[in-house]
Amino acid sequence: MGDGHKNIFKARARGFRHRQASPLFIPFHLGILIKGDGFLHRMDIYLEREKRRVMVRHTGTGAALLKKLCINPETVLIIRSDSVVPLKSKLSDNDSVRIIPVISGG
Amino acid sequence: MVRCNKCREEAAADAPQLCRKHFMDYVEDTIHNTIASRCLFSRDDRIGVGCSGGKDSTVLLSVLMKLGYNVTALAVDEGIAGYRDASLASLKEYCASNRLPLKTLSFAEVSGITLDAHAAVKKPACTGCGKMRRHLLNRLGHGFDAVAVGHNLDDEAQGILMNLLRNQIAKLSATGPVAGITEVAGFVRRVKPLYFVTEKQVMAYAVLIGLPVSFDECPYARYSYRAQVRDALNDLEAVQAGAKRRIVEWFMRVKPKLMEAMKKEAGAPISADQVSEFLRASGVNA
Repeated sequence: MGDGHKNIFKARARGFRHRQASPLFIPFHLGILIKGDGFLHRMDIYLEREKRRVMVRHTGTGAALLKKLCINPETVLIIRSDSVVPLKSKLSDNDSVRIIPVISGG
Repeated sequence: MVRCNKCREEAAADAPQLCRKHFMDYVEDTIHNTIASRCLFSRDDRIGVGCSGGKDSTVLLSVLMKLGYNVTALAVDEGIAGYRDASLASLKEYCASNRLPLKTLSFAEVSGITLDAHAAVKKPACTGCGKMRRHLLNRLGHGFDAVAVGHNLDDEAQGILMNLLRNQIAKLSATGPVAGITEVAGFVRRVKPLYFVTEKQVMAYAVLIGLPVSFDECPYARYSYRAQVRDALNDLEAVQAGAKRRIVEWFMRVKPKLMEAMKKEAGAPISADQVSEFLRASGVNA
């Protein structure tokens, strides 16, 4: 078993999903900043479930982006220009993506 | 660029990694094969499709229409303010634009109270809601040869695990692509064509064909046992890819033996006196 699951469990234990974005909570060493604070060239991400926007410095795969955001890839899809982005696809700082939950209804 | 495993075009989905066209074919073929191999229904049958306006039921409706089945949308309005009204409005719009007949029935019409009123007394409300929904769907389904519901592979893996963890073997044996163990008078056959399609594949299909999808979750769902099992399974799937599919495959292998063993124990899939039970749980004298 790899180490990936540990991050997910730790993030859940911290109640990550239920917290609002705040510069104090989101670790700066990951390069995540709230939009509007003056930094440029960051990926524009809209989190559909939380209904909020974050800016992330990221060049790498979709899977790596979700790991950086502590999101279980089983629970979401990455959407770019109304198309699904496969987890192995490369994303860069110029991209604008939406992260939508696959769990809905009840 | 990540390429399609079949044609080397740009991939539009993973698991399986396919382009838009091949992914849509894959989902439609999986649904068609489930219907054919499990004998869920035939082209001559009248099919009622249990719809909520969510992604699963809307995708099911869309694929069955595309495959040429004779479908009617059936909707149950539980009475969840701010949630169900929006999804039902979207369903009505979808049915109107596709010229599909739609039949609805609400908790309030049948029992006199809404789920909101029930939930104020009884939490978690999911058990009572689920039973009432199945009961009302069965009522709506009279006159149809089968009622198809949008349960996907994730839902089924959760259901199997929940029944195992609660040691409810009779209930476990009654689940599957066709609900119930024996045919019961008054019970319309309930079938699950999305049985082998994952929740993620359903959502990807909905995005690819541009279905109007609501991302809202039922406000009561987070209190449920199912939500806990769902989260645990998703964590497991992240480290053991294919875990959910293997749970369902294991179940399909043992199901015939379970059904045989449980035939005497299992009763009707839904209680005949469901409305009274719902009212009693809501604190109303039925």
